[in-house]
Amino acid sequence: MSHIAEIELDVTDLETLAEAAARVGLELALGQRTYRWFGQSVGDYPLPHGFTVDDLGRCEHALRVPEPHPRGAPPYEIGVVRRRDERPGYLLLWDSWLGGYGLEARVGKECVALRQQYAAAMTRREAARQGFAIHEQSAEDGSILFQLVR
Amino acid sequence: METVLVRIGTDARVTIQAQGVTGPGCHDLTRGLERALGRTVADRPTPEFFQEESVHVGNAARGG
Repeated sequence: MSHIAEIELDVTDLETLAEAAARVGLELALGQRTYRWFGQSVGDYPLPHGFTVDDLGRCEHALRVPEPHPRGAPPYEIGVVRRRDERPGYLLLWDSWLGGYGLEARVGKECVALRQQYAAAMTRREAARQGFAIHEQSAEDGSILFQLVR
Repeated sequence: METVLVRIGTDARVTIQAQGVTGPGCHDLTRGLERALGRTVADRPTPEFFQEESVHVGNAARGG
């Protein structure tokens, strides 16, 4: 090995996000301007940089559970909004109260399962673009491992 | 042969390792992937990093 780099993930590509969403059972609704949530902030979480309470519930795109839910409360949705700090890409805004009524079971706490799938999808895309042969496997601890060779 | 190993943890943290390339050129191998994924927050060289790159030219390759 010659060097080891640790990366903090940024969600920057909507096509890749849609692919990751499908892997956890969500669909990306491009252009959906609102996302389903409690509807009123109770101030239990700090807002992202540059956002106010008035921004909650509004988005540029949304991630949602595709199938209908005839019984009980429908799952909340995830708002996809452009970041307002110095970093590129999008933030995922959602209401995790009571697991977002089924949403958290798909995307994981703080969306880590969705973000892991996004990283994997982006790795596949970028590796293919660069001409690597891609070997993928799952580790026992739930990590996704890639060996890229060219 | 150039090899890149990528590990994506259940916390969505990504670790990228380059193999088969000596010297600082190994960063060229992983730079595109690092940028596509996000921000590099740590970067540690390994012993292979400090090996000099060398090019061997054999006599048989010299023509007239």
